[in-house]
Amino acid sequence: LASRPGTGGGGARRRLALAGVGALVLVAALIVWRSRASAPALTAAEAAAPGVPPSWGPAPALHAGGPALAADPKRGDDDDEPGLRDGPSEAEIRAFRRWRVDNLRRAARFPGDSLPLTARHREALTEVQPDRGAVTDPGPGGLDVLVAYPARPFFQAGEPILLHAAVVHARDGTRSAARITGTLMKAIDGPHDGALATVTYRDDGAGGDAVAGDLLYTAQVTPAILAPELLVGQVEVEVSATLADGRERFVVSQFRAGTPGARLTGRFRDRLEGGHLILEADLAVVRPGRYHLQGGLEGPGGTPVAWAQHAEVIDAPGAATLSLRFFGLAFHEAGISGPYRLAFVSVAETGRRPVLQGPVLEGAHVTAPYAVADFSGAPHQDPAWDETIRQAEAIEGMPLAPGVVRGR
Amino acid sequence: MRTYLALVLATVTLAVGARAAAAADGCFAVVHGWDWQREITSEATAQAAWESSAQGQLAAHQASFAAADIEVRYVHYDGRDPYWWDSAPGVAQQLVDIGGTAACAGKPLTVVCYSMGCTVVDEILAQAHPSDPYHDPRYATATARVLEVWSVNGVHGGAELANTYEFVNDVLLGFVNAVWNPGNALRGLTTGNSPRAWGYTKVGKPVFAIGGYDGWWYTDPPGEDDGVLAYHSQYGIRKIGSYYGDWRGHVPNDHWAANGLFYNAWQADKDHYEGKGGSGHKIKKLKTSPITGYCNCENDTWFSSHTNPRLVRQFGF
Repeated sequence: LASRPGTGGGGARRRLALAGVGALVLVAALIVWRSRASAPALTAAEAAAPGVPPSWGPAPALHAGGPALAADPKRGDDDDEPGLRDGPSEAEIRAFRRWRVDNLRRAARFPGDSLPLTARHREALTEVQPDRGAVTDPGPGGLDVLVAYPARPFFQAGEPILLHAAVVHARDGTRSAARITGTLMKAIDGPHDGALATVTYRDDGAGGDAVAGDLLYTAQVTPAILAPELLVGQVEVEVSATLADGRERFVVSQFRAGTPGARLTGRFRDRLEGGHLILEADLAVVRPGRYHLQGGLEGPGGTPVAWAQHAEVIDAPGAATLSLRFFGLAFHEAGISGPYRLAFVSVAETGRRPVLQGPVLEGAHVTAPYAVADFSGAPHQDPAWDETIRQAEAIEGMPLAPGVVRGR
Repeated sequence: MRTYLALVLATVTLAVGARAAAAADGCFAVVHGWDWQREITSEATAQAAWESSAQGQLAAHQASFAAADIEVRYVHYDGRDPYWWDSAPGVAQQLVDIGGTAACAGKPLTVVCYSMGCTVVDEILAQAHPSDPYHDPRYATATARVLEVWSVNGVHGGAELANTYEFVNDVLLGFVNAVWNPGNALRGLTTGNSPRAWGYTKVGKPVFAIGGYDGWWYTDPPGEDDGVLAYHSQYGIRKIGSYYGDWRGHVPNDHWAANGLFYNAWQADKDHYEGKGGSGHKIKKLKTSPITGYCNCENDTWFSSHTNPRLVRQFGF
């Protein structure tokens, strides 16, 4: 056979190639050794803490007071930041896989319509989160943002609607004087179809403004300004502010208005069924539709116990009943016997976004004095969750692929 | 010499591939973010959108996934719409369909979402039960099929930039909107229309949030963002605050999902655009998939970009 250029045989080439392969192996071995030597183990707290996944390395250093904004507000693009590393160790991956299985098992214990009660469940109905604008010009004195929010997340039809706004310095929270106006738009499920009304925010202690001169401005929308039938659903408020030096700020805020077609009558009944607590709520329905009921139970002393929800189509006006099933395991986990207080309950009409939310009733009912032992402590059974857990277990049993962990 | 080297590399590649194939087994469904430029109508166009500015890295990346026996599928939806329009039901149906394919049946299905795609996924996971107020039966089937979600620079609590630019688009750019119409999606990205604002309280499967952080000034607190999105939104933390470095584990009761399945999984000191691996930026911390332990060590990106980088810098969903 004729030799092609560059591929002819020769001891020197073979020795060179073997030397190259040897060098590669040596480098790989060094990488393996160094990586294994530097792999930190999980802390006992990380390994033991339920509900918290094992972490994969040290957190980057905390900023004390945020990054500097003067010359270059963008922090470095350098990938070689201290504290970072290429990947988790084998022990960390295995710990994560183990944790994943346990975590899924924990989550599978409760159904989607009843969970242990947390503070978030009530706050989801009552909390107002201010809508903040973006900082658009971070020069000297440029960190003022326009913040706007309704006094409540939703208003029933005909209620006076109070809207607040302020220009706030993003660093120190101080407020600035400004001229603020808002344009109300109905703008959720279609194109904006024009302004409903324009309001002026004021800071003179009148027209719904609580304190004159505190630079927290207030606008009030009354039925005289805008008929309630025009205020149904999510209403967008396009707020603009002009500061004393002429700079402008913009933000879009939202509130919900309107009354659902069913209301809670205030009559409730409770009973045990299958180891769970059933709470029946009577409704007066004026408009057929799909209605969503949710509520939270607290034990003596206000200890959170259980949350439940239910949705159902009610196809005729008149009296109706919706039921909540508070899952028995939640009572066992809380470890508190009754009587239980219906800390909050509210009905909403679904079928639009967001829902038309009815008033939140607090302390509307107290249950019979059930004992923890009256409830089932059995976890929820769901074949779909079982399959998910099976898959997680299969992953746990998989060998680690090469190149996965440092040192491999 | 080149022959020997090629032989050595081929042997190593075969060995790695064979071992990886034996070790890894799963499916990824990738959900893109906002795309104001076009309606992404098919898996092919979704993939093309991801690849459009990936500078060829995605192809190598996919080869690595294939070697590890990981099926990667690209979910599509109209990225110009708010998440609650047709986006979430359509994505849910695709997740079901992907989960039922021969390649994915019986295997773990991990959803990887980016930016606004994570709001779409939140909608599915949060409304999966028939008693949920915005329930769609497709959400239940999709959520049941998913093992977990990895969120990269995810919009979980709205975006303050959208609060401002929704105003700008609607009031100042009304004429332009008629042509390129980005405003509807922006409407869905405002904080007031976020799942948090609408009272969502749970997710149906674990969500692991990987937050980007690059110290820009757009949001409040200043510097607590990835150049587009506030840190607290990326982690679904319901209150504005300074959370940098608070990425380990989750924050009980501080997340809008109160059922404890939302975790601050990782913090990448990268901006919003870099979070999906645009323009050759490296994201070291995202190299390893916890589902398989697979490491994309040779290719530095998980995701490719699909939008104009300059615009992403400014609007960046």
